[in-house]
Amino acid sequence: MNKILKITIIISALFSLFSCQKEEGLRDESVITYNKTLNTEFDQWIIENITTPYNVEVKYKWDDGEVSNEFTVTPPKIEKAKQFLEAYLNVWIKTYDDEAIAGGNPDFLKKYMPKQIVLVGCPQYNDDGTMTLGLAEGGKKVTIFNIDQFAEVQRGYFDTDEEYLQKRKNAVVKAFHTLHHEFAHIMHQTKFYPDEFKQICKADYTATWTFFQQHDAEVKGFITPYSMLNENEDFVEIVAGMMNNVKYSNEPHAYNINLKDSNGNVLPELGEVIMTEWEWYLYQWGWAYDENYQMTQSPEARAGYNKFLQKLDIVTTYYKEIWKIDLYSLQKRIETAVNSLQLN
Amino acid sequence: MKNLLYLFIILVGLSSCEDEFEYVFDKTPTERKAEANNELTEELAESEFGWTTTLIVGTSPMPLMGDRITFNFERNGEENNGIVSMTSAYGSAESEFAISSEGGSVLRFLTPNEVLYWLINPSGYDPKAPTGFGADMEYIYTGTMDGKLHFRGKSKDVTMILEKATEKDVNYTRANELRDLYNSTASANFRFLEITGGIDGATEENPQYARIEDPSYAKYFKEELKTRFYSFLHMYKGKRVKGNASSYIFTNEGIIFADPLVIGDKTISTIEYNEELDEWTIADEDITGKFITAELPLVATPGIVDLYINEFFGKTRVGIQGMMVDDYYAAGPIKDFLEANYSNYDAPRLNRLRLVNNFISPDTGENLGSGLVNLDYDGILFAFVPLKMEKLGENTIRFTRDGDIITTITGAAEKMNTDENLVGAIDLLCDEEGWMIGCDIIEANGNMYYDCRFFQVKNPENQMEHMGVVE
Repeated sequence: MNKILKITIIISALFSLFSCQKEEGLRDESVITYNKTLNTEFDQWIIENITTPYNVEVKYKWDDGEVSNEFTVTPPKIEKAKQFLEAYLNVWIKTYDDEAIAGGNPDFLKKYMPKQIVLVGCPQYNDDGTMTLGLAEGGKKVTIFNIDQFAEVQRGYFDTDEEYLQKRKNAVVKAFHTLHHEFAHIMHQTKFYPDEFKQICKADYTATWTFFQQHDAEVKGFITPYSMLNENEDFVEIVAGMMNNVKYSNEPHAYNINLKDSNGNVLPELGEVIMTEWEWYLYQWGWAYDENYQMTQSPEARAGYNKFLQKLDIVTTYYKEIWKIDLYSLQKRIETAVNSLQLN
Repeated sequence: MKNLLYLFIILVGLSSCEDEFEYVFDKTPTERKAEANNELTEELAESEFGWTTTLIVGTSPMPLMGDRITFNFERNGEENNGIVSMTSAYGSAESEFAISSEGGSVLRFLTPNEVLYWLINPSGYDPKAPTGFGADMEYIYTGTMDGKLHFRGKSKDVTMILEKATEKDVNYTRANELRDLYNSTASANFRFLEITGGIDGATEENPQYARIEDPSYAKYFKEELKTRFYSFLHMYKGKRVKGNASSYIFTNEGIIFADPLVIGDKTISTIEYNEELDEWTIADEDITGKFITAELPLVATPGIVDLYINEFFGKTRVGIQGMMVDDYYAAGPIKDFLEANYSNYDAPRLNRLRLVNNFISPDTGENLGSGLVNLDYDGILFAFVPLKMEKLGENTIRFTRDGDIITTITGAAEKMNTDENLVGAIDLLCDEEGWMIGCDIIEANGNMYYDCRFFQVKNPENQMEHMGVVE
C-alpha cells in the first residue's frame, strides 16, 4: 500500500513540474494608448516659464480626476488662467526665488514648492453656504478656485482709475493667500518651528474657531479666526497674513488714524502716522469703539497683541534662520511685483 | 488507496493543455477602446458643416434651460482631441475637446466658452439663485441612431443628440436677427401668446392669453444673460397657472421654449416668425395663435377687483388704510400730476392721498364709503372725495366721482376742485374706461402678497403700483 502511495506522490510531483505555459514574446508596441494633448501657445508658455524651470505641472483644462466629484466646478476661462499664471510666476514664484537666492539658499523654491497647481474657474460651493477657494494635498498639489474672478473687483461709483487699479492689485495680493498658506505648511512640516511658539496661545486653540469673529481672534492673539484651529494653522496664517498686507512696504504711507501716546494707548485725536500696510494692520490690532464711541484697545486686546508679536518674532526668525527668507524683504518684493503687473 | 490511484489516473487523463481558446474579439480591450474613440473623433470631425443640437438641460430643482448650438470639430492630427467651435444665436466661441474612455467613449469639453458654459457653470450655493445650471461638460457616447449621435451627460444625465448640420445650420445670422427682433418687444408693458384655436374655448372672437413674463429668476444672472429667460402665466379652468422660469432657444426659424407652455393636454413649444405677415405665429400642430405685445394685462387675476374693493381698499394694515396714490408708485401723466402736487407747499397741503373703502370719518364716526382720502399724520383732519368703485371685468375697475367732497381741512374742498394737479390726477383716476389690474402673486411666510400694477385702459402709460397682502 505504501508503495502505491509513494508512486502516486512521485507521479504527482512530476506532473506538478509540467506546465502548459507557452513562452510568448511581448508585443513590440505598447498596449497603452496615449493621446498627445493639444499644445497651444499658452501651453507652451506654461512649459517654458513654469514647468521646465520650476518643475511644476499646471492643470487648467478640465480633468475630473483632479477635482471632487461631489461638486460642480468648471475649468477657468483661458484669459483668466493666463492672467493668474503670469501673476503666479511674477508675484509668487519669482519673489520667493529671488529672496531665497539673495539669502543664499538658491535651491529653496525648486525643492519645496508645490509640484502641481490645478486651476478651477469657479468657487467650490459647499452645502453649508461657504465657498472653498483653495485646497492643498500633502504639499504636492494646490488647487486654486474662482480663477474667473481673479483680480476682479467691484468698481465703486466714485472710484478713480487709480483707486480702481489699486483695488485690483489688492485683490491680486489676496489671491495668493492659499499658496502662501500651503507653502508655509510645507516649511514647518520639513523643519519644525520652535516649541515655544506652541506655548504662547496654547489655551485658546479650538475646533470651534468658526464661532469667533476677526476682532475676537485678535483679542486672543490670533491673526484670523481660522488660525485658532491649531498651532500649525496659526503659524501658517501669520505668514500668509504678512504676505497679504504688502502695500507701502517699499515706501511707507501716511495713514490718517488715531494717534497713540508713548505707552501705546489709543488717543481720540487723529493724525498722520507713516507706516507700511502691515504696520498699519498691527497698529490697530484689536481696536474697537468703547461705550463713548471712542476708539480703544482693551487690556485684553493689548495682551493679545503682545502674544501675537511674540509669535510673529518666532515666525520671522524661523524663516530667516532656517530658510534664509526675510519675510519683510519678501513683502517688498511682492509689492514691487504686483505694481509691475499689467492688469488689463 | 486503490481508489485514490484510480481517481488520480482519471484526473491525469482529463488534464489537457489545450489552449485553442476562441477569442470573441481579435483585439485587446485597450485597442478596442482606442479604436472606438478614434472612430467617434473621426466621425465628429468629418462632418462638413459639423453637428447641431438643441441642448436642453435642467436638474431638479433647477428649471429647464437650453440653446441651439452647432459644433464644428477640428481634429488635432491623429489624436482624439482638438478644437471645437460652437455657434448659437448668441455668437461663436471655441473650446478644446477630447474623446477618452470611461465607461464608453466620452466627449469632454476641456476649456470653457461663452456659448456653452452658461449652461454648465455651477448654480451657486443657492439653487434658487443660480449663476449657471450645473449641466454636464462630459458626455458619454451611447450610440448612433438614424445618423444621429446620442450622448448622455456623465453626471447629470443630460441628453445631447448631435445631428449632422447643413450649411444653413452653421449660419446663425437669421437667429440673431430674430433674437433682436423679439427682444425689441421687451419695452411693451406685456407680451402674450394669443391662442385662437386648438385649445378648449379659444376662438378668434374669444382668444385665450398666456402671458410671457420676465421671471425674477433672471435678475441673478449677468447682464447679457438676463434677456434669455421667460415664464408663462395663464388661466386654466378658472385658475391662474404660473410656469417655471426657463430660457428661449432662438433658431433660424423662430423660438423654441425650453420649457413649453402646457394647457390641459396641449403643448405650445415653438413660435416662428412670418416675414410676410410680420408676426410670430404658434408653430405647434393643431394650435393656432400668435405672439402679441399689449399695453394692458390681458390675463386676469380672478377676483382681484373684489379683493381690492373689499380688502386692500377697505382694511387697515400696519395702521394705514387703503392704497397710496402718490408719484413714487405711479407712472405716466398721472405721475406728473402727483409729483407736481407733492411739490406744492401751498396750504392746505394735500399729498397723502389714498384709495379707501368703508372709510370711517374721524370727525363723526360715520362710514363715508369708498373714495379718495387725504388724511393728516395724526389721522384726524381729512378731505374725502367720494368715489363709486365698479367692477367692469375680472380685472377692470372704474372709479367715478360720487358726491361732494367731505372735509375737516379748511380750504381742502376748494383746492381739490380747482388745483390743476389734483383735478388732473383725480380726473385720470376717474376715467370712464377704468383701470386694469395686473398682479404677480407671491406666497411667503403664510401670507399672499399681491404685487399689482394698475393700468389706465384709455392710456396704459398711466400706472399705479401697489402691494396688497392677504394674511
